[in-house]
Amino acid sequence: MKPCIRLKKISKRFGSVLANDDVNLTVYSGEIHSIVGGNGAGKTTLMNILYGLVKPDSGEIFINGEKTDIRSSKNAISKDIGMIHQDFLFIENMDAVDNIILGKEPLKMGIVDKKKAKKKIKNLSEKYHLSFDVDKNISELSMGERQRIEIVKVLYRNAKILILDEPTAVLTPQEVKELFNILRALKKGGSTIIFISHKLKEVLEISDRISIMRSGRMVKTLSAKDAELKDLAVKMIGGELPEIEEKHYQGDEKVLVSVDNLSLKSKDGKKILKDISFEIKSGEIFGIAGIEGNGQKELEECLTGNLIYDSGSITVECAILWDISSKYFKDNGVSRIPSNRNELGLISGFKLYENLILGYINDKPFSNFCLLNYNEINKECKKIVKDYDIEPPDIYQLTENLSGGNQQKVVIGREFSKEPLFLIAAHPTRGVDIKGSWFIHKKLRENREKGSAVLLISSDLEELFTLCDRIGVIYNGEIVDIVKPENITFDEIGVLMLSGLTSFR
Amino acid sequence: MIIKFLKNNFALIASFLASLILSGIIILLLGENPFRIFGIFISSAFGSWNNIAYTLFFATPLIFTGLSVAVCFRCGLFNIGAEGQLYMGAFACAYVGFTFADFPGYLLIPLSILFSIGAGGFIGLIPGYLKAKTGAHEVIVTIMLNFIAIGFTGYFVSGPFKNPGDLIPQTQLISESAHIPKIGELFGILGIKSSIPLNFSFIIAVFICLLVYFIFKYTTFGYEIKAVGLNKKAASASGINVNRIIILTFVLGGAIAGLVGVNEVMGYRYRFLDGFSAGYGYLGIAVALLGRNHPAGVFISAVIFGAVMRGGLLVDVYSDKISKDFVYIIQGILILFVVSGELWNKFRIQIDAEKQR
Amino acid sequence: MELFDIGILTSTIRLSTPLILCAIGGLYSERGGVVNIALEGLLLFGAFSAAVVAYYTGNPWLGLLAGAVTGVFIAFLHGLVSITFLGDQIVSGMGINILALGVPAVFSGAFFNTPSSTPSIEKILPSLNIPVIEDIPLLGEILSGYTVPVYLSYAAVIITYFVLFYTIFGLRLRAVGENPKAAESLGVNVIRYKYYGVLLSGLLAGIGGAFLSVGHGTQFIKNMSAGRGYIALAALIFGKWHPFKTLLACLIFGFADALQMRLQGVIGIPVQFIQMIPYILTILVIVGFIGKAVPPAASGVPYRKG
Ligand SMILES: Nc1ncnc2c1ncn2[C@@H]1O[C@H](COP(=O)(O)OP(=O)(O)O)[C@@H](O)[C@H]1O
Ligand SMILES: [Mg+2]
Repeated sequence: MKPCIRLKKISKRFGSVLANDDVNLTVYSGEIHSIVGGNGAGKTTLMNILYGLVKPDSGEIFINGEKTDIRSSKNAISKDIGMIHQDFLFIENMDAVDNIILGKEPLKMGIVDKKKAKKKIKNLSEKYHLSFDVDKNISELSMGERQRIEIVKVLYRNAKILILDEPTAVLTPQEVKELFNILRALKKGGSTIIFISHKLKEVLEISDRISIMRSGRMVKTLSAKDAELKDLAVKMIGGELPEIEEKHYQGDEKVLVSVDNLSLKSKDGKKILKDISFEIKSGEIFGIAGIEGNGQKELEECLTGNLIYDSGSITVECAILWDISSKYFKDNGVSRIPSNRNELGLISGFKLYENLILGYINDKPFSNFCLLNYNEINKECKKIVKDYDIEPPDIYQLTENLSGGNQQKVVIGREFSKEPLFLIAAHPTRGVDIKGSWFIHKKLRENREKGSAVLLISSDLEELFTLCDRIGVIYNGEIVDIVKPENITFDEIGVLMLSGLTSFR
Repeated sequence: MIIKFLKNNFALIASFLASLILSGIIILLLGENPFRIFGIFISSAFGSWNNIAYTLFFATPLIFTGLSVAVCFRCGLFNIGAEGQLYMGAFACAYVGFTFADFPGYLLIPLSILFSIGAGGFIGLIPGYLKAKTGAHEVIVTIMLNFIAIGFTGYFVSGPFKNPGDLIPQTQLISESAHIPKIGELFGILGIKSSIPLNFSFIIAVFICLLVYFIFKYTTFGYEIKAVGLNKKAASASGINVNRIIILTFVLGGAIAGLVGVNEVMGYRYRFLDGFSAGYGYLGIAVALLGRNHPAGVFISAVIFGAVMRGGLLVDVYSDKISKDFVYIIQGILILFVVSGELWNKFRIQIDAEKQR
Repeated sequence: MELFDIGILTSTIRLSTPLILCAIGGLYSERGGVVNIALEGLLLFGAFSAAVVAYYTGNPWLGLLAGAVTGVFIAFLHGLVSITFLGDQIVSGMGINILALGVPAVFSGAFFNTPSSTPSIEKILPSLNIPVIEDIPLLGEILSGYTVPVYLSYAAVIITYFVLFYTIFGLRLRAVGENPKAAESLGVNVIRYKYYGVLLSGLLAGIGGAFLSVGHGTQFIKNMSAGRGYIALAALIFGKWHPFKTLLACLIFGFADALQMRLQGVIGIPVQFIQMIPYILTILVIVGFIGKAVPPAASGVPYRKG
């Protein structure tokens, strides 16, 4: 086999983040090559560089042995490279045909020949069993359909090298199976495939070779035959995790939070959350496990008063939260670490001290009759910065200049220090390095010890098993089972997450 | 300190110099000596206390409109509507001034000021409310409202409130008790002639600058404005009522723009004249931009723009090749340079790279 | 004088022409994702340069050409500031509009010593009669006998419709205005298409300006556009960025203008209220009372390449 792509010493920096650090990668033609790595490892950046969407600071790209300067995606396309983006790139209010042919439109007498285009698209979608409605606007299509369109988009350009950036994140297990069949068919047809994921099982199933990235660096490339799940995980995370300290808190059995029959429908009537019910006791960490996109995001929004649910109730310390607004929920002791801290948890253009009081600005010591009390604010902020080890500790700096881990500490420090009754932590360690993660876990436990009810939403099973007293598995908007981590294995919970079927147990 | 200031404001200073050079070249093309013209500009704007007073007179409405735009900018809102807001403010001011003519000054003056604020604020409320409730883009709404507001005031002064007998559309004079004092009358020591129209509204303008600074820095409202301006979603998730802040900010912006009426009606012309504004509302955008949305910056850039306007008048007199409209050229060039952020970034990166070597 | 006669139709058509040219120009720019409130300024620049060139050469056609070229040049400035230097599109447009208040006045002052207007041109664009149609009674009077830019404006609408929805150029331009990142990832040169859109807006608005000074009028007069650039913008929004609907909006607004002129001095509805119609209608559509006007998704956002 001969190398079809070689990336040599690729580096790319975004502000304070070194997204790619001297990365080397060789992909042989005709193979399915996976790149695995945690969130923020730099996988997408590396692929964007290969596809010409991001300009590297340094490094070289060789395609079929030839040094190639890829300045734009146009160059990449001309080298038969196609990319399916992590967060699909579509023109939402154009139809599938226009989206597919854009940039390579068939012509008839100066006019875009949509008929011909449709025919070609139909042939492609039949050949690879990629079905979707060509005439509908993208905004009306499901995630699965969108992904199939993305694949056709690439095939339409006769791409021989396909990059798929976390294609399975939004798919149901059946759709994943179909996708893998398509990928195998493509491979048989001679395509080279770069497959990106952080789900190790899938990767082991589909790949020929696997490359592992961690915090911007390429750790190792190995053959899938020689790879072992545990070994991969260790390499991905960087060193063995210390043993879980089995000290689950024995709370005082007082139910602090109870969620009853929470339901939510989307605008088009699809059920997003179905009768979600659970209780959390004081001093308990309750986990929500599930493949992303099964309703976790909406659950998080409903539980914090940011999304109006259709029916059901949320009770915190015997008080039903009747006014669905983030302010009312906050005032009643609900607090959260949002899954997307940059969008919801922080205002990156704020000075650090401004972020440390975000959401608490109208509370007593910080303001009086609408006037800010800088003495109190400074005191509180300096305390949080010290307690939570935020580096550098200057409260007047711009928050956007902090590293990802420290930004997360800002959110966590702010919320934890208020000792909330009900704490919702959604993916609290996502994009945070190992050291930071352990610190965050420590603080989560401390909060539990203080008697909060904690809800931990995570897609990281390791994290859930380490911290939670009980875990609810969410599938298709439904809590299909509630389990204790000591009574279930990784495999078993994996099946639950993928299929929602409890019968196997 | 100075070096840090220069570094932080590199783009502004560079824009300023570039505009100066480009304007100089245009002056040269027009067959004049740029140094002579700039000399006239500077001496007529800052040459004496009287000249400075004129400059500040021209700066006063720009301070109001600049602050109006800056307040909205801070909240992520683009207020192109200051022009309409100030017309409404001015008309309301005049209306009170001649309708309640028999009120004593201590009543009439506050009432007139209140009406300018109220009318401006009301016109500001509309885009704010529409943005909050329907998501209608405030740029379009404010542009359209300008024409509507100007249309209304134009109708008032050519119809029901036209001063009978006058050829031009204007209202009757306001009551003398609504006049606010000239600075020349207030501060005799500086020797500013009382014929110079700089008036008490300048002091109001300075006060509003301080007030806005205070709001930004020391109130929860100011904090919330900034939060909404930087990240609506995060602000909303943190419990801030984003729609309320958007509406209030727009009302505040409109109210400040409405104060232009105080300068025009109570301190200068003593009546509402159709089409009196020399594009103050639009220039307010440039003033806010140049002042980086900071009240002190707005003050300084308003004075610069005021100086350009004052200088333009005398250049018109002293040069037969350059008319007073030249100030629009200077202002336009300045705006285009200041807004070309990336141009200066590229420059800067290059300078830094040179230094590294 | 009668209020409604053929005259009001022909003057509607004349008064709509600069609006149509401007609005269709703006359509290209905004469909490519660049908000263009510089239309007012482009009109003034076009009108001024056309008048100057027509005066010196004695040839109105050269004036028309000059208007178009100047429009393109000024639009290029807008592109430079807002596309290349990532400046705010609205501020940039405002800057050009302010510049447009100064440049014509100062230069006509310098050339002709009259800062508020240029001298009258002897020969303006000729009116053309369309054979056959001109002989049809009534219809001939309404449809025939205008200057070239009038016919050009209707041609522009039809061509634009075709270009926008049936050609590669149109597909790509729309894609760039909707989601530049997606377009870029398929190899479309986003920056270039944005420039195409903006330059076309300059071309058409420049012709619209030239029509004001060498077709409709006989000289450049200070501020002769009288807010038509903004009305064109309003028409574009009212027409929901679609060529035919925009044309319709321009005709409605042009009719309001003709009516308003007719009503000057006639007692009844104040002219100011008729002049306000376009602006009020536009607010109503932007708010969603009369259908909802949704601009191209990425309009107004500077595009930074990765
Ligand atoms: N356009 C960008 N601007 C700033 N930071 C970025 C940008 N793209 C990626 N990053 C940062 O670079 C790091 C790597 O990101 P990414 O390549 O998306 O990781 P992955 O795909 O492995 O999850 C992250 O810390 C991310 O925040
Ligand atoms: Mg990624």
